[in-house]
Order: sequence, then structure tokens, then C-alpha cells
Amino acid sequence: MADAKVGEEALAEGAIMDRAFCQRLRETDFAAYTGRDYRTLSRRLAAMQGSQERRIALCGNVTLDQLPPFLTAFAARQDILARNLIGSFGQYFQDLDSTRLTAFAPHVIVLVLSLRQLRPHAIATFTQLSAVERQALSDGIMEEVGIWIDRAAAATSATMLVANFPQPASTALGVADTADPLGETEFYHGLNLALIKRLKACPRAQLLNVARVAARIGTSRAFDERLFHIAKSEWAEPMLVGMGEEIARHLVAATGTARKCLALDLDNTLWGGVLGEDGPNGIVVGQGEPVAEAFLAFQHRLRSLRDRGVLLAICSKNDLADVEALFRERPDLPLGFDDFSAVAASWMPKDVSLAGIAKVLDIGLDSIVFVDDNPAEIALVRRRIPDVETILLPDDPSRFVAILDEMAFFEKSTLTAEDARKAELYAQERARVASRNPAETINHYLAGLGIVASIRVAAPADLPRVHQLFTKTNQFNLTGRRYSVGDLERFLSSPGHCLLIADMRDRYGSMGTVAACLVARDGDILHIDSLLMSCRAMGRGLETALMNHVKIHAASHGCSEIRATFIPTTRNTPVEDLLPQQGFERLAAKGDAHHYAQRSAHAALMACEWIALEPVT
Amino acid sequence: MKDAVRMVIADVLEIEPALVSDDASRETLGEWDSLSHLRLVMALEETFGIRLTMGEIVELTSLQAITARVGASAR
Repeated sequence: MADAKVGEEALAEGAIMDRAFCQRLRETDFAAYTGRDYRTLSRRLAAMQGSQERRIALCGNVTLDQLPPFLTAFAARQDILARNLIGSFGQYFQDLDSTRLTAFAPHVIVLVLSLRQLRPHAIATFTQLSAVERQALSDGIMEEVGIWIDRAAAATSATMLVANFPQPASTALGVADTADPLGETEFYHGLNLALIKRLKACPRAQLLNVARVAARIGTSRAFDERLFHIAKSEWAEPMLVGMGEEIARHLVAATGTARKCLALDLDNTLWGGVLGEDGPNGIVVGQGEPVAEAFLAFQHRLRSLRDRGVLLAICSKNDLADVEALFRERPDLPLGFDDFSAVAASWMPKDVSLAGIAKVLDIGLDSIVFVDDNPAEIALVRRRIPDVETILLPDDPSRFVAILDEMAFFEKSTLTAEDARKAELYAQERARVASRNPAETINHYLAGLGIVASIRVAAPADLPRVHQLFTKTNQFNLTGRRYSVGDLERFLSSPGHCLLIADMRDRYGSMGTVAACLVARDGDILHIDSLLMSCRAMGRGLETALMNHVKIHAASHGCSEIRATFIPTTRNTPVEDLLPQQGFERLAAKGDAHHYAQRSAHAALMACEWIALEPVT
Repeated sequence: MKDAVRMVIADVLEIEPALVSDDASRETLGEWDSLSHLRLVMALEETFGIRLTMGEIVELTSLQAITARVGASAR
């Protein structure tokens, strides 16, 4: 047993799971961990406090009691302190109605069903069933899962993770199985496909891909028949490790703590060799040679990350002119110069470059992941700006793609239209800034942008994007309240609430949905519960248009007063003066919150004539 | 060997090794429930590099029985 494993040292009572602790966990090689090490670590974590606690309920018809230590360990690596509740064995429907579960108020609820438990006779006698009976078996299972999803959605506001069904390691019909009408192979594929389609209909449910995890580990290592027969526990230890890691990914997505930017070194990271010495055509990347193809595959994977909304940045010690020339001369590469939303190619120390990238993109250092092949650069960044997550690449570029995929930092539960266009949106922003004449007045500049906004009540289809805004917006966020998809669903159906959203475009392109405002009516008082805007949209006066809309909304609903609260956080200074600017008067301070109000009768609309409001269709 | 097994049992059950007496078994130790038994099996296999059959898992429920089984593999 290796010594100095994180979590083994004695902890003081009430210890905090802080960033430094999570950082050390990330640097720990879990591959060397035994089951005992996971349990030791998880006991330590159970005694700790954390700023990001997530409650996870595990339900199903198999024994899941062994899972929490693994899940807790991997969640802690992502700065999430997991608290677990195990449902009663086989009572996954009754669990939903139990006060034990409702009092626990899970953020995430997991359903794991074993078909051998769910339909023991049919699965044991599968070869005796006709094709029609097999289809009916599949339909019946899906129906039961569907009912559970609907009931869980009604009973909790949790994100649901529903496990799929791994193929058995071998089939009863041998190689003839796939020739059989609806053989086992086809049956499992069909069932899992039906599950994927069913879950698409529920924005709050996600597939927990047990089958993929088992395939990665190897079915024969993942499952232990002894455990199943003795304790109705299917997952062997390697599988518990894999599932803990997989659920932690979903936690990152559901919590909305994904990082935003991947900053990349160039030489021996995006290609082999040194650009300054080898030149654009001398560096190793491209078709035809093994090492060159490995770097090419890595670039393709980075391009996919860009397409899912991760901002790519260059952080390299190179001459900018060389870098620009390279991308010009190598159009065969998957990544072009414009795919990078920020470029720091200079001889500055990398911590300085990374700080510059954060500034250009208007994100925190804690939103950046930095990748380099040079241990000295990684060590420097770690020491000087520990908020940046660092990844040291190994010598072998064939491992780069897997290293990228193993990172859970960029997990999101759904990708929105804004994600797919994120790099483009930042490029538009650069064009806007570049077009600005410093002598010009701000109003003249804004008028020249041709801004068009549309403000409307959010529909269910908007929830993934609105949820993203709630989880990711730090700066322009009046109260810093974070709501889950389940919470937002409740606001949509609540007559006392109104969730307003704003879309914005200008002559450089559409920015999509960039702002949200949640208001709650209480008698004749309208409360602004939350007001938030993507940092990309700040500085254009959209908040004034939105606030004008709220004032009209209040008047048309017979409210005599609008109240709003500013709750200071470490990041939301951009909105500290927003309410007085919008005509609100300060009430007495209570705790950390600053309360404001304005009488509807006096609520004058503020000018923002440079924004054209588009009627909602 | 008996002490090595004693340490594994104490570790899995999260109790002091002294509490795992020579005649300790699932009957005498309240912490040794069915879930801890599964964990114990995993820990024994990991520590001593053995693989237990299902029958053995069901029957190896005392310090003495486990020590005998582990000792037989070690010879």
C-alpha cells in the first residue's frame, strides 16, 4: 500500500474540503488506490464540509451500497462533496414516495436496474421466448422505466440518471444469436436505443452509460457472478471505480461547474518538433506518418471540444508571426487560427500569458485548463496561479486523445446552439471591439452596432440554455442564486412566477439567449428573484431594456411596487450599482443582502434607444 | 498469518484489531454484516492474492476458517 495517499493524514474536526485539497486529489494517482483506500478517503470526506455539496440518491434492484466511496472520491476531484443516500433494495418506486428520500432532497437521483432482477424468469428462459414475446418484454421494461422517470420527475427536482443495460458477456445461442429473430444481442441494443430515445423526451433525465463503462473495463472484469448470487451486487471493484468516475462526470454537468477554456501549448503539444526551428512544413503533424497522425488525431479532438463550446486558446513561447504563418500555410490541419478565441504567443512567462487570456476572454483563472508537455511550465503555472487546472502531457502523442477524454472538466448535460457557436461568438466580439473608434461616444458606438433584442417568457425548450445561464453566470448576476432544471421547470408552471429571457443580435451576428430574469408576484409586490446576463452581452444596455420590460410587466399585473435584492458575491461587482441606476431606492440593509424597491407609479422607463425591440412572435 | 488476517478484518470492519479475538466470527462481531463480508472478501483477495469460490465466500465467516484457507494457499 502506497503511503502519503491523500485523505490518510489526520483531519481536524469540521475540516473544509477546499480547493487545495481537491487539487491534491487530482494529482493523486487513483490507479494505485485499492478499495480500502477509496473507503478511507470517503470516510475523511464524510467528516468534511464543502462549499459545493451535492446529495445523490441511489435507487435500484441491485445492491448499490458499495458504490458511494468510489463516487465520493471522484466527485471530490471535481470540487464536489457528494452526500449519498441508498434507496431500499428493490423499492425504487416506493423510495420516491418515502419521506426519507423527500427529506434528503437529492440533487441527483440514480436508477440502476438489473434485468435479471427485474424479469428473472423471462431473462433466464430468454431462448424459449418467441420474437413477439421478446419485443413485449422489452416494451414492458421500457414502460416501467418510463413510469419511474415520470414519477421521479414529479416527486423531486433532482436530475435523473437512468442506467442502461449492459450486454451479457456471452449469449445463450452462441454465434447464432444475431441470426435469431430478436436474439439477445439485438434485444439489448433495441432496449438501450429505446431508453436513449425515451430520455431525450425528458430534459431532466440523462443516460447513465453502464454499458460503455463495462465495455471500457472489460465485461469479465466488470461483473462478478459470485457477488450477484451471494448479495445481488453485480459490480466488481474495477466497475465500481468506473461507475464512480462516470457519475462524477454527470455531477459536474448537473452542477454546472464545467471549465470554459482549454489553453494549449504548441510545440510538442499540437505538433511534434519546434515551429521556430523546423518551420511550418518541418513540424510533425498530418497524414502519412504514425507520430504525425497521432498529433493530427489530437487536433481533431480539440476541434470537437471547440464545437461543444469549449474556448480554445494558444499559450506558447513562440513568435506570433511564426504561429500566424503556420496556420496560413497549413490549411490541411483541423484547427485554424480563428478556432482559437485567444492567442498568447510570446516569450512572456506562461502564468502571465494565461492571465492575459483570462482577461481577453473575460473569464476567471478558475475557468481555464492548461495543457503543456513541459513539466517546468506546468510546475510554474501550478505554483503561481493554482486556480488554473494543469495537465502534463506524456511523451507519447497517441495517448493525448485519451487524456483529453478522461478529463471531466468540460462536461455539460446538454449542448445548446450557443455552445456549438461559442468560438464564433467570441470572434464576433473581437470584430465589434476592433470596429470601435476610441474617440466615438459609447452611445454612438452602440447605435452603430444595430442591436436587436427580443424579450419573452421562457418556454420548456429554452430550459437547457437558461439552466446554463444560471449555473455559469458569475459577473452579471444580481443574487447569485443557482437553480436546477427541476427548479426552473417549477417556475415555468407556477402562476406566481415569470421567467423572462432575452435574445440579442447585432450586425455582427446573433448571440442567442443571453439574459434571464426571474420575477415572483406576491400580492401587489413584484420581486426580482434573479437577474443575470452572459458576460458576452454586457455593456450594451440590454439590462435597461430588460428592466423596462419588468416595469411594464409589473404595471400590467397590477403590482404597485417592485422589489429587488443585490447579494454581493466575489465576482458580481459589475451589478453592484445596477438597481439605483434603474431607479430603485435603497431600503435598510439586512445581513449581506442589499434591498431595493421602487413604486410602480414612479417606475419610469429608462432610455436605451440604441436597442430595437423585436416583437415576440 | 492469523495476525495478518486479523488486521484485514479489523480494517474492513473499522474496529480495533484487539477486538478481533481468536474466536471472532460473524456471530461474535456485530459489524461483520453481509455488506462488510463482501468488502472483507475483496480485501482478502487483494491482500493475499487469492480467489475464493462462492462456496468459500459463504463459509469463511470466522478468523480461524479464513486463516486456515489463506494459510493453505500460502503453502
